[in-house]
Amino acid sequence: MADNSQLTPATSWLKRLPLPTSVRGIWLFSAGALLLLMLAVQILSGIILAMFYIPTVESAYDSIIHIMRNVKHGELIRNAHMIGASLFFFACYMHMLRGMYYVVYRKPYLKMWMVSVTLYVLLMVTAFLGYSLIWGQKSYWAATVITEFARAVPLVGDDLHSLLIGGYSLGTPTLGRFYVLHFIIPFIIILMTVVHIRTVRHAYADAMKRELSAQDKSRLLFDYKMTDDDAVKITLFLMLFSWLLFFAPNYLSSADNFIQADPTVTPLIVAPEWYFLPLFSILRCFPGELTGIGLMSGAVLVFYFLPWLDTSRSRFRHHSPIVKVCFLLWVLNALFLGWLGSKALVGPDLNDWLFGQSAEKGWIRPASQISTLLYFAWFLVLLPCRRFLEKQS
Amino acid sequence: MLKRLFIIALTVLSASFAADAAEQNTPTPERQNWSFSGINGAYDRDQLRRGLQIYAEKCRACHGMEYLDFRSLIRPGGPELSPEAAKELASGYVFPAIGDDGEPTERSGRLNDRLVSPYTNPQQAAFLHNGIVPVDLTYITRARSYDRGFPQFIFDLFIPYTEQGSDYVYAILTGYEEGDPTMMKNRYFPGGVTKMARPLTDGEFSYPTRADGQPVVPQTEAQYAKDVTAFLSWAADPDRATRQQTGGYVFLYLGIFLALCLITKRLYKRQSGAGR
Repeated sequence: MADNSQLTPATSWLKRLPLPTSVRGIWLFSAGALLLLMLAVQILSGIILAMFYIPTVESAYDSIIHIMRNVKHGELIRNAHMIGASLFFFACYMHMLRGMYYVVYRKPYLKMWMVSVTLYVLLMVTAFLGYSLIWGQKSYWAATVITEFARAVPLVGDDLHSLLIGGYSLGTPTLGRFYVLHFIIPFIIILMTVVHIRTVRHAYADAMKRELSAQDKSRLLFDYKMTDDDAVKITLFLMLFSWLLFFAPNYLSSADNFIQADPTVTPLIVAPEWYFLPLFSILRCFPGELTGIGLMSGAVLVFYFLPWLDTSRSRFRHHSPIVKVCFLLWVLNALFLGWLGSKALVGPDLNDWLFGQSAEKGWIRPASQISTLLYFAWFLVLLPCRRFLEKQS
Repeated sequence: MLKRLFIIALTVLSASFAADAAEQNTPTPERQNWSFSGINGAYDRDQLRRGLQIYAEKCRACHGMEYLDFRSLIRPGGPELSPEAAKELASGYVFPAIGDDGEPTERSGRLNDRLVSPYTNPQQAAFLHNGIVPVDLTYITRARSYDRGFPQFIFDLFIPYTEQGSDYVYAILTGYEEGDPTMMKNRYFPGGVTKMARPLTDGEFSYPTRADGQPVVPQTEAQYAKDVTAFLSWAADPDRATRQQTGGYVFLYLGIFLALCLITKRLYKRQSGAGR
């Protein structure tokens, strides 16, 4: 577009920013509005569910069945909360991938990126706590596995574990504290979301190297072009949501969660919901409890260090096509890692598999290990090398 | 190029998955045609009634349905029993109660009661069944499933098909080995042997007939299994009809709203373009 004078202030800033935003990028990628929508859906449905839920071992599962069978529209509200959690993560991952692709963690977005990763961690914690509350077979064993991590801490492990769950094994005290935390943390998330949006605004101001006027600020958030785009996006997203909610409500849920938790029966395969599957794969594929836990937390916390891992100063138009292809491959690899996470972990260790020293059949374990290495390769190999691949400015 | 790579990857993955499935001894249940699956699926009232008949005459002897109440049997969209028939069914159940004199006593079931297990407690059930408690059947078609494999599980979202549990229950009921004297060998059960002896046999139940005395459906084990599975599927998901109807309206609304959004966007674009 030759004539920039016709652009609204917001879009003209976007044009002049050192990095382009979703306005120029892949359209569906900017999922910020969708995240706000899902946050609202989760809070509203969650508050209604909280009115009926009973956090005790005896009644937790039955109270959810009661909501689904006897409360007016209870099935819809419960499923909306459950499917909402999944779609929240879907939108969250889109949002994060967008940020990674357009390198929105470099200056001046550094502060915003830190807040964002914190939001992601809080979201994961909330999702895990809420999932434990179902008290079905799958959620019970997921909670058992995750809380057992505390034991891996040297010296104070056992004490930390009993402090976390309020006893020697999961029980009513666990449900009570998980319920309270699951109720409180979303309000911290709301607070952080406000901070997150404000930091975006400050980052724009930084990029423009001047203060934003009040009019600029309102235009930045509520510009016609943006709100129109968001409205279309939100409607399409709501269509996906309604499709799951009304026509395939059990598509995302696991069969084992329709069995009440039974501490004496271990399910055949312990696996989390799809949004944790890549992390689950990373956790379990290498031998050694501490290695697994370290790698898994590393896989999340590495996002905090993106600004220092990627020291390239290139503009978007100088981004290397190699990096772009690698990014696509990294995303596919993460999906593959997730699929591996849903399978039983069979097969020999990677070393034995490569040199044919093991007669063990199966390939899920070596594949998970390769996939995990590739996951970290993006952060620890490609990003530090990036400055040599791209024209610096 | 990318597309070709994708297709190759897809073929390799699905082939490897097929190999995985073949290695296991337990076959994967087959997908059945359920009247209630899909976007506009609906329960067949007569089938649900036949299924209820089988449950009441057979399964009930060991299995409860503790989340299903008798009044649900009257509601539209289900077997739609008459209130009298539901009351009669309920009166066949016995519940503990406290009498007017304060002494523990018994009473017969009412419409507000549930189709509870025939045993007073799990210990009794386990004692009578060689250590195994017969499962509750309310959510049996939701609590069982099988892996549809890649890439079928992606297509399932759009078909939509989430009736794996019903397929599984049907497969178990019809998967007993022919001519096995123990009647407990079942090829769909992990390990090949269940604790439940083959429950259904051809011609066992007297189904309602047409006016001319001809049977409406064949009186076979497969048909019995299908009917009772349909009933169990309804019990696990009784609100399907209303949910799908609401979903239709929601989609109509969202469709109109989407059209309006696109028109607004277009108008704004044209307006801002005209000023150029």
